[in-house]
Amino acid sequence: MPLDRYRNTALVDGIDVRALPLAGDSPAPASQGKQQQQQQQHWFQRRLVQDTVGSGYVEFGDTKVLCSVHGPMEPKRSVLTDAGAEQSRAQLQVYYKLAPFASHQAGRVSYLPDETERRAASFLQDTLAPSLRLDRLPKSRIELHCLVLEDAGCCLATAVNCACLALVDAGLEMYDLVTAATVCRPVGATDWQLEVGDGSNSGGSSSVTLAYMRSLRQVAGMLVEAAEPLQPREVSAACRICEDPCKMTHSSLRQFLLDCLPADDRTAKIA
Amino acid sequence: TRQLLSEPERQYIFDSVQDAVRIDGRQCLAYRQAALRLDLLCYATASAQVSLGETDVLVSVREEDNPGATAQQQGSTGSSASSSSSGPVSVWVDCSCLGSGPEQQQLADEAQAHLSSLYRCLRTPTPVFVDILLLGYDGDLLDAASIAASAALMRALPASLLSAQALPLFATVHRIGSQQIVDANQLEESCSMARVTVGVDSNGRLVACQTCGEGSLQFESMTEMIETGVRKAMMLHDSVAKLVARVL
Repeated sequence: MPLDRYRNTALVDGIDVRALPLAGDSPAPASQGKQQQQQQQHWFQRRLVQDTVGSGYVEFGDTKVLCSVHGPMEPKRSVLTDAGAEQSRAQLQVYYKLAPFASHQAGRVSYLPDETERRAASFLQDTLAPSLRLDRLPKSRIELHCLVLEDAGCCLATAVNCACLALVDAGLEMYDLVTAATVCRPVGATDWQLEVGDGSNSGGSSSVTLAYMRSLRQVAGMLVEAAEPLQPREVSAACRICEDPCKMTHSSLRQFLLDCLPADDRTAKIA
Repeated sequence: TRQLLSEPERQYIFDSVQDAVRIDGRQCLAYRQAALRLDLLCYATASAQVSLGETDVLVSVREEDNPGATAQQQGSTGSSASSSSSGPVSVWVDCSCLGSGPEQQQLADEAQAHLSSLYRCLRTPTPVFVDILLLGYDGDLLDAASIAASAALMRALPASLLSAQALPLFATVHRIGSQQIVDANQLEESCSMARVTVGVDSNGRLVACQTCGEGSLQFESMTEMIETGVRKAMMLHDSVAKLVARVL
């Protein structure tokens, strides 16, 4: 089993290795500058859930997301979609849930899906569908369950990355990998900052999430959550800023998947 | 609610839009004839009905003086009214008139999520409840609902508040082939490759923006569609302000 240097495996009364300067790939403290933020990397793992056709686990900073794919299964009966073109392609159904213990600031998260969760689920569905060859699985339904274990910001983008990993792990045919990044900006500020999942964005700021397909050079989804009115060109600028992190995540996810290929190494890590 | 379309019908709509002709004879960037009626409900602070083609939306705006009671009331229905992060304007969308299937539910949920995000920047002294009742659906629900809600809010909110904060409106731009269209009806919506929904306040600034639908876009076309959306929304702002002023 390869050595996992990324995570703190110390005993309860041990020293926190993340505080030591030697731990190069440890999460950057919130106060550190942009250089530190850009070093923030995703940590991928697949096949974490055994009873599914595919699953993925992504850590980004302190944000942890787990996705599992079920299916293909029988489609849900619907009067309108019973016949015609709807049956010629698979239905993708996405469920998005924050674990009750996921949020640090908001306290315990309710079991019932709230509006943000429903909105995130519909965003994920719209974002992932363009990348999937749903026409290859007619008369079927694919379910994707996305569980945010820890929310330290940037969890929607991390969920997109994780869902993409899970879908690849499930062996579904895809046009391209979808990767996402979020930039945020506090009210009154002028510069967009890349969100890195270090809990620094405690709400009340505008954010732009972009999901990008690098090989196709196409935007799979974009979501602006404005805390104040924004100029259209500011939104375009934010999307441009997101493009590079999306490309970087694409490369590292691709590398991770390539590394997984020959030996079916379940705990491979991207340097 | 998704319209059933055969492949030749889809192709017909697609091809005609490429030649800048729409099935009802409109220009690509033209809205359908809209009708706005104000103050239909006597128990609401203000109400408005908008019909945009066959899409028919009734909006009631109600200001609550007793926030404690309403928070309790809303808490039981699972609305996000009690959470402070969503702002004091809470939106509720109901489309039970169209049926109770999962598709109708999804339509209502999506519209509610979009419209709540539209009013997130708006700050009012008392909690305001915007209840949207969908009476008929033929595409472009968000634009129609935001026009109705905006008209009702203009009547309900005090003038001092409206001069300080601009009310936003939605404009949805669809992409079919190489053409952009606005105010797509249900048939065109089912042919749409991608759509961008922008929420624009009357100063031309974005308060919400999202790509929806199962399609992907080039960067350039996305930017173009946002620009078109902003332009069309500014046009809608003008018309709504004129119409409401005429009633006053």
